[in-house]
Amino acid sequence: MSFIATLGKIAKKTYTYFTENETGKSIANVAILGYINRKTSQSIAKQSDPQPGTRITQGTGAGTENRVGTGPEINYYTVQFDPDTNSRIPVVYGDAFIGGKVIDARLSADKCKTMWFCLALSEQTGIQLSDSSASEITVKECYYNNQKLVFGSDGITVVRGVTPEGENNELLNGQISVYPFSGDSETPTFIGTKTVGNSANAYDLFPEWDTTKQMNDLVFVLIKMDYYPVGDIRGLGNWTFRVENTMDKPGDCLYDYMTNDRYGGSIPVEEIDA
Amino acid sequence: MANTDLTAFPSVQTNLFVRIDVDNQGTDIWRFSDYQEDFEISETGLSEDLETYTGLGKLIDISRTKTEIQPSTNSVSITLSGVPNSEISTVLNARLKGSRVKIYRQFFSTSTGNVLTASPALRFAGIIKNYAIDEQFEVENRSASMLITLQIDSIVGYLQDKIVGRQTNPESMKTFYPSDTSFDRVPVLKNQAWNFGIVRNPAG
Repeated sequence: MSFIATLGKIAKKTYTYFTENETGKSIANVAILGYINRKTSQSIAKQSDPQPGTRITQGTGAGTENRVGTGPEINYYTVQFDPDTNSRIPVVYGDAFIGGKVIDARLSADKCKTMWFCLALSEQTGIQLSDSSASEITVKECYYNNQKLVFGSDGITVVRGVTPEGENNELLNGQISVYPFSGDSETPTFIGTKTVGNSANAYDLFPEWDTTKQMNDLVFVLIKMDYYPVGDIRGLGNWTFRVENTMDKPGDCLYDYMTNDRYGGSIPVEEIDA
Repeated sequence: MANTDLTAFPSVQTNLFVRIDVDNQGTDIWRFSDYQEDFEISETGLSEDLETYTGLGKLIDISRTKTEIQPSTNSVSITLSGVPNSEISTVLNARLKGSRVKIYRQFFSTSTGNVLTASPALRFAGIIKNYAIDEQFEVENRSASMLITLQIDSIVGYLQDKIVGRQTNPESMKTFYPSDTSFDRVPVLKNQAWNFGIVRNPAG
């Protein structure tokens, strides 16, 4: 007798047990119900996107943590910050790539779709010793999640990102706006070589700000982002800015740093043989 | 007056002149020296900049300093003795800590007592880091006088210890700009959570 015939006998005995014996019938019912429950659960889980329990930590330098929230009705990310209240505003001379310090964040009231962030980039520097002109700091380039951002004709709204490999990411189109300021809340500037851009005061743009939000002597950006998980916009993300200061001569920089009483050595001018 | 070549003298007399800018605003300046009498010197060498330094003679003692080619974190102490008890309140009320100090050296001829250099040489520039007051009580006379010791760090040492820069907290911002509330929400953001997203099915 082949083993197939043996298997057939076992199958027949099992079938008889589950159909004719009362205990066997109960066991079969429980097993079938369990199978159906499992399949139903798997189906619900597939509909819930993203998967529950996923944690994404983003290294923005701002202490951002995004946690996926899932429920039967809502798809959102819980955005949390852990800003350092002891970090110092950096000073930029010449050309530098820097992140930013989170100063404020607000969620729009329209179904939590839009978030505003304020990032401080640099201290505003002083007068250049060489020609007695005021130093000017501009934001030349913006990078979001390692993608260089390309701005549209308004000079504010992102139309695409360019990856390090040179590929265009059109998914960012219209989802992010960047408003740079140089000096205080009332001195909007343009990004890079753009000749157009924002002209509004920062406290008129940022939700719930008033005129006491002066941001004195700071170079900063306001960022407006729409929730768009397809484009990987689920939180502040990683931001880097290329900042350029017209003060780039070594003598000017040293003199400024030695004499400034806010971020420098506060050495009296008369003690420096300039 | 032109500077004299000091190598031509077998010996010279040097005296130290101390200038303390007590409030760092130029309104309360203490000037004294270990010269035996009041004497006028000019930082710039110009006669219109002459300033009188009170001669304290032996009542002042200034510690030695090292002379180095590169800037170093030297410190120096100045001891003033014989300060009457009645003057102690002046010292206590003065904002001595943080005051800028310059010590000049002036050269005199040992034979004639004449000044040999037009402008004094700067020997030390620093900032008062600390001071101490000791009481010297004379039992027989039932009187007391004070000994004041000023501890002065060089500018280099002061800069090494100095912490500057605006921090991302409201107190730091208001130190520089009292009415600016821009940093007020930084501590508030800590541990705050936002549900950033869209309502997929508002009807539920």
